[in-house]
Amino acid sequence: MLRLAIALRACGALALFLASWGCASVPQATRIEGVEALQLVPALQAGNSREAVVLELGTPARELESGRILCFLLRRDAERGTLVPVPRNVTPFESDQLSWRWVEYDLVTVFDADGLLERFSLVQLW
Amino acid sequence: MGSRARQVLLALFACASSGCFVLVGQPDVVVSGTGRPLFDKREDFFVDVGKTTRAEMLLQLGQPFWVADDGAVLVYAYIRSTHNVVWMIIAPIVSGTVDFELYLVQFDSAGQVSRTGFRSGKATWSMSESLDARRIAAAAVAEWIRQGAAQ
Repeated sequence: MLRLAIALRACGALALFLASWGCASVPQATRIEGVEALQLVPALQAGNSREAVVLELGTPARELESGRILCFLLRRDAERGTLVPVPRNVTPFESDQLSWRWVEYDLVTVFDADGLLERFSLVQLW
Repeated sequence: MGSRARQVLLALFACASSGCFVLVGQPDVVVSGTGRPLFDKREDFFVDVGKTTRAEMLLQLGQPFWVADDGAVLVYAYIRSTHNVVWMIIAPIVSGTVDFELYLVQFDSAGQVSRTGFRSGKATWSMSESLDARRIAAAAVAEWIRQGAAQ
């Protein structure tokens, strides 16, 4: 009986520890890199021009530092298997009715002084 | 006190303390403009004032909620752990106000982080004027920028 009580208390303490541990960590979204990123967005090939990226992904959701940094909100096209831009009128930034459900990927691209792709960050949100 | 009553009291205490544990353990999560959880505001973050660039911040954090002052300030948001889900649902109904919590990053003319900060406040909530919170939060951002310029 004593052993059972000790075991139950140990289980309770473990459950409390796991509960607090689980809540204490910030869940991290999946960052997509390398070949997988190129399969989803072929224009992300290093050295590609800004024009090539915009031609594939359309008008960016945000543009900073005179076009050196372009941000895109994307979703997966089931038929093509690649990422396509979310229409501007349903993005959280452009619409009063926030439509998070359309945005599946967050892409930030950084270009060098010659307008060639230098770095990017592609994150799967959901 | 009977053993049964003692067991009930112990069970209640365990539930109460587990609730406290969960509340204390929850992080104050800073989120991106797309709602992506980024980091706990109470922990050290990679920002190095005077060194970290705008591009590095965006690559790390993703898109912000707002870009203010012609790109000089990026505005993210955070969710305080004290605001549990139940209160977030009830508060607008009961009080007619919503809390907003902002994480702000300001850049100098060279595109490097010059200042970071947190701002919170209250905004009136109504069905017809859903933009009120955004307007008041924008005013808080503008005030934060003015304070920085005055320093």
